[in-house]
Order: sequence, then structure tokens, then C-alpha cells
Amino acid sequence: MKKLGIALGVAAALVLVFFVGIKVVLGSSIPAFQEKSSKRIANLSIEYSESSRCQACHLDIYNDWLDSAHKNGDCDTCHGPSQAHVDNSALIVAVDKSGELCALCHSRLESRPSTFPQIIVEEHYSDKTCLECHSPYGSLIADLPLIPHTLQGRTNVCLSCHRAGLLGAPKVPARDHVGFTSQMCLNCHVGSVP
Amino acid sequence: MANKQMGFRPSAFLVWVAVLLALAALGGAAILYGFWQGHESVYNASRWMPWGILISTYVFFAVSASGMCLISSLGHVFRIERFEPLGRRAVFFAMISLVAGFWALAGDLERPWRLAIWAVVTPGFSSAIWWMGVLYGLYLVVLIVEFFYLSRAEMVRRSPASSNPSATASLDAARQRLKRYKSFAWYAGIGGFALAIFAPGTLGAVFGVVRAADLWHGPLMPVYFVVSALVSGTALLTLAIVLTYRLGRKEMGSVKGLVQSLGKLLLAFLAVFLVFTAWRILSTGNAADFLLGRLGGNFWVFEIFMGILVPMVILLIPKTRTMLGIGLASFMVMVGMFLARYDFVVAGQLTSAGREGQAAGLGLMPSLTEMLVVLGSFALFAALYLIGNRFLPLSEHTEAESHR
Amino acid sequence: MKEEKISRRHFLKSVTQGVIPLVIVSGGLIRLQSRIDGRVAEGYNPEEHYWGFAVDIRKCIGCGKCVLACKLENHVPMEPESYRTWVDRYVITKDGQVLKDSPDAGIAGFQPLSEDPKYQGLEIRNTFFVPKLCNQCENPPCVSVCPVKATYITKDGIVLVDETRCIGCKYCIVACPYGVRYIHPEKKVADKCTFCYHRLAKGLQPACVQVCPTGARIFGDLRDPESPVSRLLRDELVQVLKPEQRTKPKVYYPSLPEGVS
Repeated sequence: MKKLGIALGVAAALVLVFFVGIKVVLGSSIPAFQEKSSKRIANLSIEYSESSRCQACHLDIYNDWLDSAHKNGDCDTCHGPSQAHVDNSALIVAVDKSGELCALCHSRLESRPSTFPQIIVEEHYSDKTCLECHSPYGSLIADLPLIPHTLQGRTNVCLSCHRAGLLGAPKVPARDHVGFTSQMCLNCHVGSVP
Repeated sequence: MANKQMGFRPSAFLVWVAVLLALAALGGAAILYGFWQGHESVYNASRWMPWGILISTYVFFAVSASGMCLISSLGHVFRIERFEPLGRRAVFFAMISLVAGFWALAGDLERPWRLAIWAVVTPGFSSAIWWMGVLYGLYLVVLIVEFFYLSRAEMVRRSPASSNPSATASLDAARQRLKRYKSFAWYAGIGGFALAIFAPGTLGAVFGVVRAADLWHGPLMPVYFVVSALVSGTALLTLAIVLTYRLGRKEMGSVKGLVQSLGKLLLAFLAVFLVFTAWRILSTGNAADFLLGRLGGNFWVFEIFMGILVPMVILLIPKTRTMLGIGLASFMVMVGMFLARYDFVVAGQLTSAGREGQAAGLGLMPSLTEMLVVLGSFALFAALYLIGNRFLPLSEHTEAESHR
Repeated sequence: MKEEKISRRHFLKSVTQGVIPLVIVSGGLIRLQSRIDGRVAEGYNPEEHYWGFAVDIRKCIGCGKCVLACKLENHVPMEPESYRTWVDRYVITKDGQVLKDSPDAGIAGFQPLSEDPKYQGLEIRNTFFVPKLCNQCENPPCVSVCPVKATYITKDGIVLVDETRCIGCKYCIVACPYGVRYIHPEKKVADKCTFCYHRLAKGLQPACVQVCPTGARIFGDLRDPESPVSRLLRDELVQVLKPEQRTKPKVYYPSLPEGVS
């Protein structure tokens, strides 16, 4: 029994020394290593820029874009990482103008919110490219008809009159609006009457 | 021995050791290949199931090592006479089992050499893996110390001085040394016994603290792993003794009683283990997912039927409880255990939170590289045992004789 | 034997006399290093901020620009399993089944449901996109399980990974209930979303927030009551993913339908 007691006592003492040693002496260095790591990560280089930096050189486009339907995104949303161009303006960022880039967001998917403007790409002017009619920085085609009536009590029900052209309402040209729902109209058409 | 008359013919021992060491080296090459290419391209690992057969092999070996030490402690720490002959062989087995386990584990760490430095300099006290690593590392050191002193004691006992009653002076000296070595071995044995309980406990905690994994989470895991240790330790020890005597064509004689006792002990542990296994599975929310799922077949056939029920029957019926029967039962338990660990590691991840929808698409078959590493660790285990059996004082007979 | 005993005692004495001072001195030296300036980058003091994130799934169109931007900004390999953020498409059927898919993390957008055999013949009640990323939990399971404390939480609430110390044991990947962590195929260490910490230190927003065309991803300083996230938390009821895991995530989802986890 005495042997056991001594053994346990020695073991307990060793365990205590071990923990005090590791925790107090060595464990205290952990914050230092973590700060060093945070510093390294914080100083990594960036690839994507920010629209306010594009403004400095591209003021006209920037102002158009700020009023456009695309204002929720950023220049880099379509133009890709542009920090390299900000650092060295000779490096041009190419952008896809074939229409595939537009279709990535604007092609019709069931899972997309119904208020989001989407088209069935094959049925919507498949002989033209998107940029022939639409500008990414502008509202859309130059002369979109304004809404000459008040919208009071008439939101989300546009197609109930305009699909068939009831009550003298202009009929929606089917080809331009394939797959559209009433919720999408106000994304592009602006009212002229309060 | 080499037969010089027929030219150089290496003995069976050398051939076996060479083949096994070559396999172990092949496993080592597979590990290095894994470091080079990255585990996710050479192992059956993905971000949804990063742990596979290498972790389960490590668990198998580490748990067996702890168990063997627990069983041998019955003899030389608690002085239950029936188990005293186990001493050195069991401790040696535990040592090499742990080394084989670490070998497999090294294959699953992307940067194992960093572990030694950073686990000491920036230790993660809240991490069950940190505790497990420290305790198993300490355990290996304690085992080495214990084996050293047990062997020294054995050498003293075997030396001519101790058996020559007329040379009283050197006999006294020998007795003094024997006493000292035995007492150091006893202290190390107590330390080993404590660690053999805490270390598998923390290994169980590695899985038990993961709240994301329904099949693992809970306070039961440490206890379950200690019970597993008792089962696989007894089984591996029994199997090793039976194989050593049978393959070495030695007369089993006095060891028969020991093996019978081990067999009965295994039966008792298997009964407890069966209860714990049922408890572990049924206390998880999605038990049916596992029992009837892709790994269900593995579970029922290998873990329950082959790993627990059939061995229990063999050990229960006195007619089948022969040396061969006990050896066979132990072998079946080991196979069942190995596959049970794999099921445990894989199923736990498949049913974890954050992997919904991905589980069905994940393959369950380990890759060739992984299997080579596992084969390598078993080969290393066998090779080290053969070498130890040849050159180190492991046999039980002298121990038994000295008690006359 | 007596000589043996003395020499052993002598040996032990000299070892302890050598080791203990060595431990104390090296510990002291390492401690000195900890007196480092709290700033991590020029002009950025992490103690002044506490970052939060919100995802409004009513606005997400599943274009995948965020996933691409993240990979380009953080130099994540283009392999399908390596991603720091992703978009899940959920499909809820009329009989209550919840299905989801995420082709290549959604990096190239999604194809219509009719083109996916998984959804053929199902009566769909609702379908929508849910972008997900590291929740930068306040009680992160990944931090507590790291054996070498290579992953840690900063003063401004971001969970980072120190790639020089990570041993690649994958415990953090197993422990994360959201599945946001992975082993970087080139660096061979654990990697995850950092809220673009390097951009935050320069006063910019995370790349995914920057490029989102509909404003579905919202970012801000929880300490600033007028930041977009703070305002959203005031104005709307929000939820988090898997609250039962008790991780206290900092990515908030206003209007999360049932079945999303």
C-alpha cells in the first residue's frame, strides 16, 4: 500500500508539473503565433476591385450604371477581377459580349425569384445578340413606353389587362416578353403619373 | 538454421522477416505518395468523409495495445497468479501494436512532422486529439520502461548465479537486483495500467465530442472504447499465444491453463461488449439509418455475428473450448473488431450534419494506397513480433518455473 | 551497484538541472514575442470591428458569380471539391420531400430542373437558392478540436487557419456541422472562408458580397448600428442554420423556408 501511495504521489506531482509547464510557459505563446498568422492573412493581395475605384477614370459609365437596373451589383460582377487593371491600366479586362454572360443571370430558371427579369433565351430574338438592343448601364431600349396611369391598386396584375389588350390597354408584344410575369413589369417600365 | 551443405539457404525466419519488412516499406512508400499527391487524390477521402480506413486501423491497434496492457496488469500489477506468465509478451505486444498504429496514423496526417513541434509549443488543451496523442505517447514510453525492467528481471532470473545455491554472495546480489528491477517494473506497470484506461478513454472522446456526428456524440464513447480495449486486447493476446506455440511447434503444456483463463475472460468481456454495442447504436437518433443502411450488412455479419456471437458460442461450449477453438474465436473477434472500427469511423461521418445529400454518392471501398498502408502496418507488427520473439526474452516458461 | 545508483542519481540531477532552465528560458523568449502590436495591417485594428453576414435568399438568382469570385480572389483551385462558399438549390415537393443539389458548388450557375433526372416526375411546391459559407461561429467546434490551435477566432470575430502550423489531421473538417471546411489540395492544410479577411483589413467588402448582382449577400460591422447587417437585424426576423448545434453562427438568413438546414 505504501508503495502505491508513493507511486500515486509522484505521478500526481509529475502531472502537475507537466500541466503548469505546458500551459503557463509554452501555452502563453499561442496568441503570438495567432497574431502572426492573422497579419500574414490580412496582407494578402486582392484580385477584385470596387466600383468607386472605377469611377476615377470611367466617370460617365459609372454615373449611367448607378441609375441602371444593374446598380445592386458591382462593375466586377460582369467585368471580373479588375485590381490588376487598377494597378496597371495597360492590362485590359476582357468581358464576354456574346450574350452568354447575360444569359447566366437572365435565362429563365424555376428557382429564381419571380420578380427577377428572366427570358427563355431560345425564344427571345435568337437571331440577335443581347447588346444589339440592351445596354448594361442603361435602363433598356431607349424608348420604352412609360406607364401613363397611376399604379394605385394595380401592382402585380398588369397582364390581366395588357396580355389580351383589354379596355384599350396596349397589348404586350409576345416576342419581347416570353415567359414574363406581372411582377417583372416594373423592373423596366417606369410610371409617368404619380 | 541455414543448411551449409546445400549452399546458402536462408532460414524461414529470415525469409519471413524480409518479406514482412518489405511489405512494411511498401506501406511507407504509400504514405509518402500520399504526402506528395495529397490525401484526397490517392485515398478514398473527400471533404465530406475525410477519415477512412487509416484512422480505423489506428484505433484498432491503439485500442488493442491498451487492452493487452490491461490484461497483463492483472498478472504483474494486481498479482493474480494465473495471469502472471503473461508479463513480458503482453507488454511487448502492446508496444509493437502501438507502433503499428502510429504507422497507420502517420498516413492520415497531411503534415505529421509538424505534430511533434506544435503539439508542444501551441498545445490545444480543448482538443481530444491532443490529449489522446499525449497520453498514447506517454503510454508508449511507460511500456518501454516497463518492458526494459521486466526483461532485466528475467535476465537476472535466468542467469547462472541465481540458480546456483552455493555461490551465496553473487546470489544475494542477484536477488537485490531482481527486487529492484521488479519494483521499477511494478511502478511502470501501475502507470501503464492507468494510462491504458485513460488513453482509450480520450480516444473515445475524440469521437464523442463531435456534436455534428449523431452516431458518435455522447458521453458513452470513452467507456465504450475502454470496453473495446478489454475485448480486443484479450483476443489479440490469446491469438498471439496460440499462434506462437502452434506455429513454433512448441509444447503448450503449462500455457494451456492460461489460455483457458483468457478464453473465459474473453467470453465475459464479449457479453459486456454486446450490451455496450446495443446501447451505443440504440441511443442515437438515426439508428435505423445505420442498421439498415449501406454499412448495415457489414455490421450484422462481421461485427455482431462473426465478431461477437459465434466466438461467444465457441467459448461457451466446453467441447469447442480447445486451444484451436479459443484461437479461432480470438481470430474472429479480431476480424470483427477491425471491420467494426471501419464501420464506426465511416458511418459516423456519413450521417453527420453538413453532409446531407452527399452521403449517398460517397464510395465506401478504401483505395489501393490506403490498403497498402494498412497492409504495411500489419506487416510491421508481424515483423517486429518475429524479431522480438527471436531476440528478446518473451517466453512464459521460465517465469512459471521460477515460481516452483 | 552503489556506483550504479550514484551515477544514476547524478545523471538525473544533471538532466533536470539542464532541462528546467532551458524550458524556462525558451518559454520566456516565446512570451516576449507575444508583446506584438494588436494591429494586423496598416490602419486596421481588429478590436474596433465585429463582422457579421446576412444572406437574403429571396434575392438570390443562383448565378454563381459569388462562388467564382471567391475562388479567384482567394486563389482556391478550380477543382469541384475545393470551395469556400457555395450555392445550394433546394426543391421542396408537394409531399414534403426536401431535395437539394449544388453542381460544382454552383460556380457556373444552374441548369433548368427539367434537365436534371433527379427532379423528373416530381410535383414541386417550391424551389429556391440558398448561398452558404462559413458561419464564423461564436462557439466554433472547429477551434476547440484543433490539437495544435492552428485554427482560431480573431478579435473581430473571424475564424482563421494558420497554414504554417496545421498538421492536416482533418479533425476540424469532421467537426464542422456545416461542411464549410476542406483540405486545400495544394497547400495540404485545412482551408475555409475567411470573410476575405485581407479585404476587410483594407476597408473593402468580401469578394462574394462585392459581386453579387442582386444584393442577396449583405455584409457589415455588427458594432456599427447603421451597417447593412445591423439594419437588417433590426428590421427583419432572422434565422441561422442548424441552431441545434449550438455553434452561435454569425451568418443570418431572413425568411428561411422550412426544410433548409
